[in-house]
Parts: sequence; C-alpha cells; structure tokens
Amino acid sequence: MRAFFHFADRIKPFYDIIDKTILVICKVMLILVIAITTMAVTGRYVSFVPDPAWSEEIVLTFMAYIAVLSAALAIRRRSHIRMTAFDRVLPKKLIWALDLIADVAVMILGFIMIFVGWQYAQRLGSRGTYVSIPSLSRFWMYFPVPLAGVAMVIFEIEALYNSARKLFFSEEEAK
Amino acid sequence: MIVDGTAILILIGSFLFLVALRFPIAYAVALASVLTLLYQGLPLTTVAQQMVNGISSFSLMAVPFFITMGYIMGKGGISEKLIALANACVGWMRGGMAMVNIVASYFFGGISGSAAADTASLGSIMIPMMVDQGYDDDFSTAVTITSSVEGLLVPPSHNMVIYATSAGGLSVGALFLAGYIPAAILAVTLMIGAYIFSVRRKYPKGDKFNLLNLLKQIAISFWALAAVLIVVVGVVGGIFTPTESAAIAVVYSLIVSVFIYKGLDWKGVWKVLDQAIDTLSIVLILIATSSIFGFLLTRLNVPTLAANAILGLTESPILLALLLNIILLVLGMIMDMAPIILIATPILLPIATSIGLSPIQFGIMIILNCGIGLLTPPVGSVLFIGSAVGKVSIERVVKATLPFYLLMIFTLILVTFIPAISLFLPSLFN
Repeated sequence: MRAFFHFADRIKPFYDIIDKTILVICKVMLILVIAITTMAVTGRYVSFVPDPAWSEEIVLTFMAYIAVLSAALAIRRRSHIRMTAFDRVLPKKLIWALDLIADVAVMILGFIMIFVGWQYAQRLGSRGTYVSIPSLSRFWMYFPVPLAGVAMVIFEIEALYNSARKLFFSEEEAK
Repeated sequence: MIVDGTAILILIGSFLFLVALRFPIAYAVALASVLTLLYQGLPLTTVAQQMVNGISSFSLMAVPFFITMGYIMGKGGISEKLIALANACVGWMRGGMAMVNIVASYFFGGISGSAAADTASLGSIMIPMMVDQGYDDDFSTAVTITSSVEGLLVPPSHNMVIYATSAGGLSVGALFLAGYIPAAILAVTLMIGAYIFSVRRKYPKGDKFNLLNLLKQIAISFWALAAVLIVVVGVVGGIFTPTESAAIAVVYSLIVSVFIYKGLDWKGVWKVLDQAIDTLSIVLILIATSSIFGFLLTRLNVPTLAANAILGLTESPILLALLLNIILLVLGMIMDMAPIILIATPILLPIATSIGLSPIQFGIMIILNCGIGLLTPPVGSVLFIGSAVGKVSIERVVKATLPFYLLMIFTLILVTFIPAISLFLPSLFN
C-alpha cells in the first residue's frame, strides 16, 4: 500500500499547478474588479474616463467567480472556519475520522452543486442575457455554482487521499 | 402562520450537529439547507439561485475591497507611523506605551478593520517595545489584544458592511458613524484600566508632551489616515456608495504604500493579494452559503418564532437586552465573527427591534460582542495570535486579560443601555 501512495504522490505537482493557477485567476479578477469599479466611479466625475454601463454586472459576476474559486483553495489549505474549540482534548484518531466524514460530505455537496448548478445555469442561460450586455448569456452569472462544485470535488479528492495516506505513514513521513 | 417544526429542527439541528462534527461552517450551512430543501420537497436549484443572489450584491463588494485595503496599508509600513503618532499624543502619560498601544489601535483599526491584523501588525512592534521598557509581557499582550477590538468598531469595517446587508440593507454610512463613539469609549475605558495597572506596577512614563512633534507625526501619518477620510466622508457625504469608496480607497492605499511611504514594491503588492485572497476565500463563500440558510430561516418563520419565544421569557426590555448580549457573547466564544453576523442577525434583529433597540445600535452590539468573543477561549483567534506574537502562554494571557474583559463588558453595557452612544453621530449627520 505504501508503494501505491508513493506512486500516487506524483499527482501532487499537478494539484500545486491547479492551486497556483486558481490563485492567479482570483488575483487578476480582484485587480479587475477594483479597476473597473474605480473607473466607473471616476467616470462619473471625470469626463474623459469611461463609465461603462456593464461595470456593475461584470464586477458582480467576477466576484462570484472569486468567491467559489478561492473557497476551493481554502479546502486545500484547510483554512475554512470550523469548530476547533475542542481539538486539544479530542483524540487524534477521532479528529481524523471527523475530518474524513466532513470531507466526504463536502464532496457530496460538491456533486449536488455540479448537478443542480448546471441545471439552473442552463435553464436561466437559455432564457436571458445580461441587462447591460445583451449578447452575453446569463448562464455565466450562474456558472460559478457548478464550477464551485467541480473545484470542491477536485480538492476534496486530494483531501481524502491525504487522509487515507495518514493511515499508512507516520505524521513525519506524511509531511 | 403555519409552523413546520420538523423542517426547523432539520435546518437548525443538522447545522449545529455538523458544526459540532467540525465541518467547515460555510459548508455545514449549505448541507443543512440542502437537507431541509429535500425534506420540504423544494427544488435543489434553490441552492444555486440563493448562492448567486447572496454574493451578487453590490454593497457586499465593499467587503473584499476593505479587506484588500487593510492588507495593502498594513504591509505598506504605516504601523510604525501610527505608533509614532499615538506616542506623540499619549506617550507622556504614566504607562505611556500601554496608552500608545491603545490609541494606535484606534488609528490602525480605521485602516485595517480587523482585530487579528491589528494584533499581528501592531503587536509585533508594540509588545517587544513594551517589554524592553519594563512592562510585563502578559500585560503587554493583554493590552494589545483588547485594544485591537477598537478596530472592529472604527470605520471602515468590512464586518459592518456584512451586518448592514444581513440586516436587510441598513445604511452603511450610518453604521460607520455609529462605531466612532463606542470605539472611543472602549479606548478610554481600556486606558483607565491600563493607567491603574501602570501606577500600581510603576510602569514608566514616556517623553514629555511636545506639540511640534505631534504636528510632525500628524503630517507624516496624514496620507494613511486620509484613506479613512476618503471612505467615511465619501459615504456620509453621499459622494460615493460604500463599495465605490472602498474601491477608491484601495487604489489610494496602493499609491500611498508604493509611492509615498515606499513600504511596498509591485512584487510586494502581488504578494499582498495572496493574503487578501486567503481571507476572501473564507468570507465570500460563507456569505454565499449563508444566504440559502437565511432564505430558509425566513421561509420557515424562524425569526418571528424565536422572537416570540424569547419575548415570552420576560417582558423586561432590560433583561431581554442582557439576554441578547449573553447569547451573542456565548456565540462569540465558540464561533468566528462573520458566521455569527450572517446567521444570528436575521434571528436576533427582530427581537432587538421589538424591545426598542435600533438596528444600528444592535449592529454595534453584535460587533462588540463578537470582538470580545475573539479574545476568549476556546475559539479566540485574536487571543491565539496575541499569545503567539507576545510569546506568552494562552493561560497567562487570559489571566492578564481578565480585568480588561470586565472593562469591555462595562463598555458593552454602556452601548446597550445608552442608545445615544451609537446613534448620536448618525443622527447628527442625518
């Protein structure tokens, strides 16, 4: 089994690339969101700065993407807020088991989000467009939900793999 | 009113159960909502609809902007300048460095809006300085963590924006103004406590008061403090919305940090965005999933039922106000700030308004309660950061903080029972 984990560990760099890519996408979107909003405000007072009608809808859409993509990163980094008050008194094995249950449940939630999110985005996408950009389908406004599901599932697979790995390696080796 | 007790039990019971099982709160909220939707036979597409609705709020956009601004300013080298300004203001007093710590937190809070950032940033400079001058390390840490709560009340505060949205669209400008006096009272109360300790323990005085030095420090810190002015004057004066002012403030803070204070280069700015995304990764998804939970709470009439149940316990508004504080304090001890604001506001706000509390005043109460919660075990993130920065065990920090907890509770009681403390400034500016 240890040999299998040593072999499967080769996928870690792939996850690192996904992690870095998502982080860069989020940062670029955050910069765009700040730039577009600032431009729109400035455009109200300074005549030569454009104040595009699409700024609010686009900014909100970017925000939704930042929210779901960065949340997936938080799964990998284990930085989501959780009740850790009793961790010091709970046995390590129990914490391991609870984390495993949580990871499985979040993965199921990820699948639900992929399924229902895709259904909803498609249904809405076929019905309407952005008010300020009539050529852009509203599908993109709701697409972050299934995308969040996909990102959650991808990182939960890694989290479950790491949990399983802990069964066969000591804490030092696992690092 | 039709009451579906089983659905309410599933929603709240499963949420609490999942939280107890150490599920990430953002996903515990979503899973509890999914279970309730399934029980009620409602379409699961509600999850997608409510998540996007929750995050697609232009006013909430101020949250990532304020968080980003806080990180840029924090890393842009303004901490030292604000400490120097505070030193020029109050460093001459007995226990001067403790006073400087408290006043610097007031200034810094206006920029970062985060108690954790305040403790990490100011604490790493102030605690060693205080220890070098003969202050006890546990006292220095206690002063640092308690004064960091001022930062949650001094605008701009992204938690105020979250509360304003959770409360159904309150005026963010009014909330911003409402925070100033409670934060000042908290600062003065803490300063009195620190002064008493300083006299008893013979902590040193700083240099004599020097008006010229004060003016010089004001001039140096002006650029940093102007970011707060842009936001508050912009919002209160109706020039910008909170979101617009926050975006302008981010760009302004970038210019100040890179070109004026030169504490950051462009590489540093790119790195700072990592930290901003780290924080956003926790906050934004929580806002998104909490909106499904909030939708179900409203659909199941939970706020009205909770209000009736609590109002049935006693008719005394004083006891009810105290009860609200106790509930929030207990929640603050076991949960982080954003989830409490997002989950408890829809339930507790109707109770607060029914006993005559203004939603603005209640917002300040929630933030102060949560702030105290950040300093208390078992889930006191600021307590843990303070303990790590000050290199003092949590037990010793808690012991040294005990008198300061009492001072904070005293401030909380003042805020609860004297509405003018929160409402004077908003009413002044209409």
